[in-house]
Amino acid sequence: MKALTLHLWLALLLPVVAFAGLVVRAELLRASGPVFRVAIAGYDPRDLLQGHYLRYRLQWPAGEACDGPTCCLCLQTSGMHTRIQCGVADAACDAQLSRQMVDQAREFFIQEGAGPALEQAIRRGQGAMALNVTPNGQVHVHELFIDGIRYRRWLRDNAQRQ
Amino acid sequence: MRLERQVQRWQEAGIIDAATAERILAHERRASRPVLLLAIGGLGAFAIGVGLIAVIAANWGDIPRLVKLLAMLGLFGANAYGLVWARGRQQRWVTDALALSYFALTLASIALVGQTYQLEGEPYQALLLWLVVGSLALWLAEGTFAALVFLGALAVTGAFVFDPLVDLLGHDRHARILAHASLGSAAVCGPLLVASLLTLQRRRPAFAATYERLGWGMFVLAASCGVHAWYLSMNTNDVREAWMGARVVLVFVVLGLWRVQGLVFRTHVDWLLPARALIGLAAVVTGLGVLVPHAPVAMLGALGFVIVWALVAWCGYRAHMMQMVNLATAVIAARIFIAYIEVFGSMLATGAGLMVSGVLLLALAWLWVRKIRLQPGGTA
Repeated sequence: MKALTLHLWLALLLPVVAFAGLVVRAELLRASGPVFRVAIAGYDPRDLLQGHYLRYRLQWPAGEACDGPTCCLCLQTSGMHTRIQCGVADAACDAQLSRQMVDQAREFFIQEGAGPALEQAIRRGQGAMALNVTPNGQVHVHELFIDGIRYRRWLRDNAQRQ
Repeated sequence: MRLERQVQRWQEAGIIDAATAERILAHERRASRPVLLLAIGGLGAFAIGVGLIAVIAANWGDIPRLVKLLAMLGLFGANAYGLVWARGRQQRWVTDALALSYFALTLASIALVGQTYQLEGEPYQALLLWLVVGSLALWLAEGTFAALVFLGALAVTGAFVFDPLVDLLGHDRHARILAHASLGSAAVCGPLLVASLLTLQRRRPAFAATYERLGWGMFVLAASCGVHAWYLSMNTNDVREAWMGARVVLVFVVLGLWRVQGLVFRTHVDWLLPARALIGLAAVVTGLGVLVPHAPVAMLGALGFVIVWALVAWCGYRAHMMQMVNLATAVIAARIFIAYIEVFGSMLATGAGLMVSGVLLLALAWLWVRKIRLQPGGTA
């Protein structure tokens, strides 16, 4: 085999290195904090599905503690999330999410054919998203849960029941 | 069959003898490729490929993340091995196909990470990363298709990057105009400027030739549209905004005027002057149309269009590209015919317009037949 030129090496390795870098970064973000389960609601109630993506938004817990742009979501590993004033140090909070982060419309990739059942479940308020908060305050999504179980397993159980 | 009929006609006309006819037919039969067989085979392979992808996609959610990521690494490895294997071989198309595949695989790998980890980034970030890390693989290819794919990828990325870029500039109107002018000028003059690079011409002649053809096409199209600015009325506000972007456009025009010499091969220096005249005059007519307040002056717009295409014809004539001359002549004739319709009004104006246009068309026909088509060596 002829000696490989620098150009060929770079051309072949750069995409692989970038791919590996993206995977490592995603894994680090995934492991950067405790995992919380937060209830979700359909972002657009008329059309939760766009292609193979479920459109949703994180739900605020009920409470009168605060409202408006300075209100943050206090996440607790126990699952008892509350509203608090942003910037207020609260030992009970394992992580905080800004209002912008909570209200942001999000998408979750789902399996072909899973749309209608998931859409109905989320309309009924059975959906929750497992996520962690990265050090820079961003949300990193792990998995969709319906009635407390992973959505794929829920779909299988649901299909068997029917 | 068509070739056989042609060869028979040449033989009957006494142009070639029977032995030559036999040799031509034998040569063409050897050179011909089994197109139908290749098409059916290709269709079969394509169907299998799409079927495999569909089967994998149907079970995508059940495939563990690690398996997906390792499969992607496997695809990278197989494709890279193919590229190393194909290096230095006669069949350049194999390297081209594998390089294109590696480029596509790079985008697929970025999308895979985004999908498997449910990442919520913007599409432009993925596209920019793709261009940065994948373009070198495309540079391994040498064919025209790879050159077009790269340009397409650049255009798509540019379209996605534009809005975030303007947002980054802070929604400032001045910055927005500058961004528009830069992107527009780069789209019009970029391919020509890139094609004029000696490194590209030496290392990837097919890339340079493709970008040159595309660049001239883009420039003539833009100039043909641009001169029609004279059909609009420009008030002082429009002009003020146009002046904001004019500096950027001017830089590109000057670069074009300078670098056009890089497109002229030593044997065809004759068309350097008409090429520069085309760039310069098109820029001046369009520039005046948008940088000076005026009421609609349709005549100047139409005249500008004819000037642009007359210069295209001149370029083609000097470069001995008679097809270009013919095309430009036809476009000018069509434009003059459209001018008939534009001058429809009173009986007097219509009559005068028809006569003037008719005389112009006759003059054009005379010029084309006597001065161009019948030139010795002309291939029209």
